[in-house]
Amino acid sequence: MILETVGLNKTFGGITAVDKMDLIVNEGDVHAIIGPNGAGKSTFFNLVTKYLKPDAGKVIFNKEDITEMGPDRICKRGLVRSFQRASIYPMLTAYESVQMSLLSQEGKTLSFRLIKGLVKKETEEILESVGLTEQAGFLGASLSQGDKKRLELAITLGNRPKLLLLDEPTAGMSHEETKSIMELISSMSERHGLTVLFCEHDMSVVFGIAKRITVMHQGAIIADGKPEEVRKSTRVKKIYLGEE
Amino acid sequence: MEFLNTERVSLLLGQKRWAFLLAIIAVAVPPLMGRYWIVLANEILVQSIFAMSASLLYGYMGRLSFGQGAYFGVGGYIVALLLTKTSVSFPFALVAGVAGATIYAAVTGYFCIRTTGIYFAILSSVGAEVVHYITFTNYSFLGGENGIPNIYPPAALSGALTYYYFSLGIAAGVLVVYWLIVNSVFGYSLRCIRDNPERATFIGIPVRRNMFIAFVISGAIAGLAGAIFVPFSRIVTPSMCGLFKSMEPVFMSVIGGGRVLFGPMFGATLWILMESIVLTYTEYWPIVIGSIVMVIVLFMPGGVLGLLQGKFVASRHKTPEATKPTK
Amino acid sequence: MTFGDIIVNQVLSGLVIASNFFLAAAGLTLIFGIMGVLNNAHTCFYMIGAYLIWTFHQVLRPGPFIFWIGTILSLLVLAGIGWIIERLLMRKLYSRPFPEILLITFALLYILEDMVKITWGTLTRTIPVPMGFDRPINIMGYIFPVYNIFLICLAIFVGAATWLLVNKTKFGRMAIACQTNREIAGALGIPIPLVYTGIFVLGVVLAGLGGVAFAPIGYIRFGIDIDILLIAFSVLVIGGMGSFTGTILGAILCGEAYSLSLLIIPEMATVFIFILTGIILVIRPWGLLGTAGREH
Repeated sequence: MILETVGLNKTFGGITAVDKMDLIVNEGDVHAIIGPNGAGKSTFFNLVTKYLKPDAGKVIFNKEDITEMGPDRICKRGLVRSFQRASIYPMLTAYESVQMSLLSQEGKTLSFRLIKGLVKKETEEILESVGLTEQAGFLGASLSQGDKKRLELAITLGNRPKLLLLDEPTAGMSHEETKSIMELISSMSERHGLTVLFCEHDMSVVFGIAKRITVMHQGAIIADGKPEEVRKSTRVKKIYLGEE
Repeated sequence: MEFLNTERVSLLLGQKRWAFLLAIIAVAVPPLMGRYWIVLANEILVQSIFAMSASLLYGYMGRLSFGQGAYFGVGGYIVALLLTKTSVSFPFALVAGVAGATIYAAVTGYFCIRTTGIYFAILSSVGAEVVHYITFTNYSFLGGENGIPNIYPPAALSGALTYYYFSLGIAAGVLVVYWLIVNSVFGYSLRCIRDNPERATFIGIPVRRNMFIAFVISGAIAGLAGAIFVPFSRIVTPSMCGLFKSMEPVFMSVIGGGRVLFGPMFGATLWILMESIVLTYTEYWPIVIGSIVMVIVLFMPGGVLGLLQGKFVASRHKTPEATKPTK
Repeated sequence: MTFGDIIVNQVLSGLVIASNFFLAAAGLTLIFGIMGVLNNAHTCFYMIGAYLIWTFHQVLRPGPFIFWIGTILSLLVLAGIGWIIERLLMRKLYSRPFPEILLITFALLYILEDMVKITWGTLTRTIPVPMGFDRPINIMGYIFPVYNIFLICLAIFVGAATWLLVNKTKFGRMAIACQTNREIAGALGIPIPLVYTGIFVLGVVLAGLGGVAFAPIGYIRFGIDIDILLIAFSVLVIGGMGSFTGTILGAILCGEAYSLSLLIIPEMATVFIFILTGIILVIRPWGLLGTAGREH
């Protein structure tokens, strides 16, 4: 068990976006959270990664209570998120962007050493794994949409995550791009023992690679388990009727 | 639209080559110039240092600070007080001036860092105006509106040419430090904060801590500029603090190019040269420089050097679309 | 003088100062609130107003109404200046990032200041208090200059009128619609450019009115724009940037604080306000009556 949330709760005004959620993510899994729009998936992610502050509940990562920690400290511990809209640095090259994640993870952001040539091997490895080797020298702003998404993933990988939270990683991607990103994610998981928790709309993507699926509806979990179990659940079928 | 890392490209442009050329000119030419031009060149050096302090925050950290005048003034006033009222040595006075400016930067920085955007700009200007107001109204100790006159550098530096070389040494040192900071991991962390402060936090950069350090460094540099300016001008006045003083380095960086290494220095050079030319014909310099700044911000936000760099890059490299295999 | 005398005197002189601050800041907050532009050159219009009324005092035939006619003419000139500046420059700024706005408007400050210098030089001028107003008035046993009371009434009137304009008229509601959601406002057929021009001109006229109204009891001098600019910023910050009622509150607070510290430590009056501004910026940047999230 790498991540556990206990009674995680968040209300906005009168609406409960995340309703006392208890979720367990096992180490090494590729774990998907699915649910219709407004189910609370993104809010849940935001709570876990401290983009938002939970109203109640606990978040336990690697047996450590991280509920009170800020986003930068959580990241150092290995809980890293990516953003749905590629959140990159327009004026840094792809290469430098990945370098910074790596260097930040090593705690070196106060170093006055020149950045040129640092963590060269690791940076090139990561860029290659997302297919951005050719575009390494291009500024973030000049990359195509698809490449920005790859860079987004590369920046996240630079933090050497133990648990990777991906917020709708294939949103806006073409079919081939989706396939390659998903292959990349599952190979990352196998190769580095990386746990991946992602939320998605695209069912084919989810059932293709997820080892475990959690279904959310109106802020609460309505189903949780292996893909076959979830697929058979009548409750899930009811909620999703007409949603596909 | 830049296609490659423009900072790396500027190395291709022969940044080192330009620096070398500049160094040779800066060292060899002044002895051949008349006193008027040596003094002007000296001013350019001081303002370059001052401008770099502003562009560190604006160009590389993305925060517009209207408070640099405070640190310039604090550095200047401390040096003035020490040199006129005590008998401490000149180096000691300079160090004390910089230290004082750094402390004030730390105090104001602690608060400024906790604000963003327009509030940051206003709060930093409040920090500057407090200093301005105090120097303007205190007659007993600080000379009030007239400031403190009769500040002399030590005999060894009292000639225009010798003080120029002294300022040149300091400016060169600051330029090297600036280059180092801007291209270091720390400097890149500032760039991450500039480009995407949210993302910077989420990859683990301690944003507040790094911004605070940058703010203090910038204050120290501004203080250094003030500290070496005052013995040069022989007087310190309240107009060397405050909002108006704070705008000058920002404007100079913007004119030259906030994100280019030589931008602030270039902007300072242009400013001071233009000022001296305009003032020989008319006293209405503000309207000229105001119009120039307006035009540059409206049409050339990257500054003059930024524009040149962009054009150079565009003419030399293909677009990413052309070099990528078709999908 | 009894304690009560001092208090009444304090409060009233604070209100006069507050009226000055309010007129200087009201336009600034309107323009920032509706168009998102913080105009560093705003108080130049205050100074221009003061110089304009002086000019009209020299040029018009002397008589009991010279001040009032001069005021109307000055405001008309200011409206024209505001209209030109909005159409030529300001409308280019509405969609720009705020650092550029600050830089450009500060450059505008340089330009306007020099234009004032070219037109009027840098000598300090004075004009007399309008005829009929230069006598003391007796209110509840206390004696005050009539003109000062008039100024307070003017500020109240202007404040109320502007508040009504913004909240109760069609124009005002169109302006608020533009502020809240530009796209929908445009889709509803609101003539956004016209509204923006109108608001900007209104802001300029308000600032100029401040300069005109306070010219008789203050000094018409070069550089007053900078002094009052910082005060205007403070009023905005304390009251809440973009909030009109916040500006009213901020002006009153700053005016009273200024008046109070004139009594205690005169040299530190302005610094006191700055420190207050700094505190608010750190603990509650959107001011007393503002809304969070306006910093970009």
